[in-house]
Amino acid sequence: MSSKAIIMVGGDTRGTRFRPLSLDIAKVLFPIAGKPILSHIIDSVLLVPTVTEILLIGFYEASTFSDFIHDYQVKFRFQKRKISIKYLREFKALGTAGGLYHFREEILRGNPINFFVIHGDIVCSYPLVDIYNFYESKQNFEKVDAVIFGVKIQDYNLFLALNGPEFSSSGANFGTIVSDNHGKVVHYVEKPESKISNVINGGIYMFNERLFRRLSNAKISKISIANDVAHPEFVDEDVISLEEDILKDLPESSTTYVYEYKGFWKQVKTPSGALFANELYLDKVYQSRHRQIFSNDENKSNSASSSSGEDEEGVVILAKPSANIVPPVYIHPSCAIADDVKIGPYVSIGENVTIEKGARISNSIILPNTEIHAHSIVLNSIISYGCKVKEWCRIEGTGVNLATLNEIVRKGPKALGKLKSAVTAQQQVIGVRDTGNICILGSNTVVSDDCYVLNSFILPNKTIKHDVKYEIIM
Amino acid sequence: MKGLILVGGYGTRLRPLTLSLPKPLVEFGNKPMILHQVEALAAAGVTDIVLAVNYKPEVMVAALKSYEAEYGVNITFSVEEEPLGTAGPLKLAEKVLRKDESPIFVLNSDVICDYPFKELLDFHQKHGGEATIVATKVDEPSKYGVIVHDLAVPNLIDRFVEKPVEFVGNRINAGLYVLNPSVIDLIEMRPTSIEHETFPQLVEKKQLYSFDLPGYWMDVGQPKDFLSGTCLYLSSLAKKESKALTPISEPFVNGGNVLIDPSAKIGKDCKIGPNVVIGPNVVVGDGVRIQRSVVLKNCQIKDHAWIKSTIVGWNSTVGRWARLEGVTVLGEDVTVKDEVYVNGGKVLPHKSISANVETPQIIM
Repeated sequence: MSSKAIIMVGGDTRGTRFRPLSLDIAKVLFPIAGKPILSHIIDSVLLVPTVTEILLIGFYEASTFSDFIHDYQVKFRFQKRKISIKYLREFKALGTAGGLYHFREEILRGNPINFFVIHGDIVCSYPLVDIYNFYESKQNFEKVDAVIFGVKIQDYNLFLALNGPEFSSSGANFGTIVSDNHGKVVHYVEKPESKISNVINGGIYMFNERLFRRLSNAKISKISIANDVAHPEFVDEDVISLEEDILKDLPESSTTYVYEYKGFWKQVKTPSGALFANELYLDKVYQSRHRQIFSNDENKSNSASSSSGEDEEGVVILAKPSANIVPPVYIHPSCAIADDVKIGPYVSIGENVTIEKGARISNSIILPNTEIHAHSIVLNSIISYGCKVKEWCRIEGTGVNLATLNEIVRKGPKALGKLKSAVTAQQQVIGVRDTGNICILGSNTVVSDDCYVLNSFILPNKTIKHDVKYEIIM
Repeated sequence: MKGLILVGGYGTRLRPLTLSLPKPLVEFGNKPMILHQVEALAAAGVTDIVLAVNYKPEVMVAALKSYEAEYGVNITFSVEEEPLGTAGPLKLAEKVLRKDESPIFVLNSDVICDYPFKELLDFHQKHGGEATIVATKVDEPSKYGVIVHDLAVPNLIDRFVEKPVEFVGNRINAGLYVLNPSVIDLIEMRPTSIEHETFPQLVEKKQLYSFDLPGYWMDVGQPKDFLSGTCLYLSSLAKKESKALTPISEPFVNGGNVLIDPSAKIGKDCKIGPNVVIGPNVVVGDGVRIQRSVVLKNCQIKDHAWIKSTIVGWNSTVGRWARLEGVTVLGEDVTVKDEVYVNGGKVLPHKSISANVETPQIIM
């Protein structure tokens, strides 16, 4: 009895909305709380005992993941459990399910009884064990074809504000699930124009082998449409959409359940989405009291994994709150942090980062090997690899962070409208959608003494010598 | 000898500072503006000073009372019922100004320079004309009334050209004059302008000369120029190797031209200068960066704040990691919260700023 996990990692010819960060790093490898999104997912997969193989499917160059996969393979070698990990490269972008069809033999090799399909840009608490158990419990009564991970939205307005797109008023841009009171899915709509349910598709699924029959059928109908000269639009027969071509028909033709989840959830499409995900994730780790272990607690200091700042289950270990640390904050153990600083809340700092005296960092992600010099302040920003922010700089996004967003949503539609127009204003000035009013420094950016970078995106390898406000620096 | 200082009205151009203190008492280089002038006049041998004002606040009367004793001068207020322009006040104060036949110094209270009254007086007495205008050179004469000299007689003014389109000269009226008492006879008791009504008559009579002002000159009537004027004043102090300036050997001084009151406290790791004035009892925290700014007395500048081209009004507090720039003016007792950015904000007294001010604006 074995299972597999398939993680859809995307590719760099798509996902341009993650620019300028995608120039430095594949989106799924972007660190949330100091750890790649993909590692968060894989570490959760590893908690499911039946999984014997992890397959990454995408259309990045193979080299993108070679180090990453190598590290896991080394790790697996020292474990008793037999598990493998592999990257399967699509010959082109095949849509959300085209890759599953294309690599069907690879996936079905060894006759797994079921498999997870996980979108690689989802950040949540990944309750994969619970999903698996839920699947098994339903399986006791009838043959279950699929379980969809459904995110139950608690505060619809907040959810919309968090997940855009651009604060759209006409319903969320997600698949919406309607189920009966046993959790059986009776209706699935992709991107509905009106609100029909509080449960949306969270981008994680459990399927059995019957999925491939559906994929074959979808493929056949694609080919016939593609070859139909009367069809008005060009249709690529290789591209299959999991949502449009498979999920929509599931309620009628199969037994599909929804696993309802009430925790935090964020799909990372844009850099500002990554900042939100970081905030939500850190908050979650901080709130779950039984995990309140901090990196400099003595009983943890001899833990084998503390050098990477994680516990045995792959949950990051937060920095201990103090006069200088406003929780939640993640700081990699290798960092050099001066005493006289103020860091947090919602800050993640990667390996070998130097923070000099009198620096202030709030709601930001700092990637490895960056230096923040004395007296500088970083707010609502993402600072990529190897940057140097010199003395008395101010790197600032005026920030849609969770705290302000919550407050705005509480104040009602008027305040939300104001926020929308503020964000739209930046979009118009710098011409990027989903800016979220954050600041991004691409890798190896140098910001000279006293400079102010406000709500701007700096592409890699630039030296900033003057104040930059609402600009993209190429 | 006698002097008349044209103070005028409420100093609205220098708000929000002048909402708390009359303009002549606002400290320029850690000294009330009017005191610079009183000092210079007293040093030149002036014994009677008239302040031409539209209103007479108690605080100003009290301040000038104390200067009377300190500098051995008589100071009187000449209060206009209605604004009398730049010449009217001379007529109004005739009693004092004509009490003897010695020349009268007249100056605009907004003007700062090195006040070379002794040289000016020598010059005035040497040429024998009825009046002397102090002239300063400017880069863009097209914005001012430009002085054109007589071709035959050195320094005799031939005419004024208002906002010349073609270059006729680059000397303009600096707002300081020496007049013989007889000039008052040319003035009627009504609102009238010395520049446009009195001087042309003197030009006609070939009685008006100009004196070239050495050194700097600035009309500091508004915040932007107040800061520029401060730079000029500090540079002038540096040139004179004034002991008042904080020595460059201090580790926190950057680029010189820094004037810090001895009662102010400066934290560690600060970088202050160039062109900074810090008033009495100011407390500057650690890691603070200040350049081209004036911090008035009793302010608190907290750790790691960054301040440039800003006037911080009395008793104000600037929070940690706050950033002020772009000719921001904090009125009295303003609080800028931690981490807040203010660009070109004119903040009225007793306000607390807790959100960024990205574009120049007035904060009521």
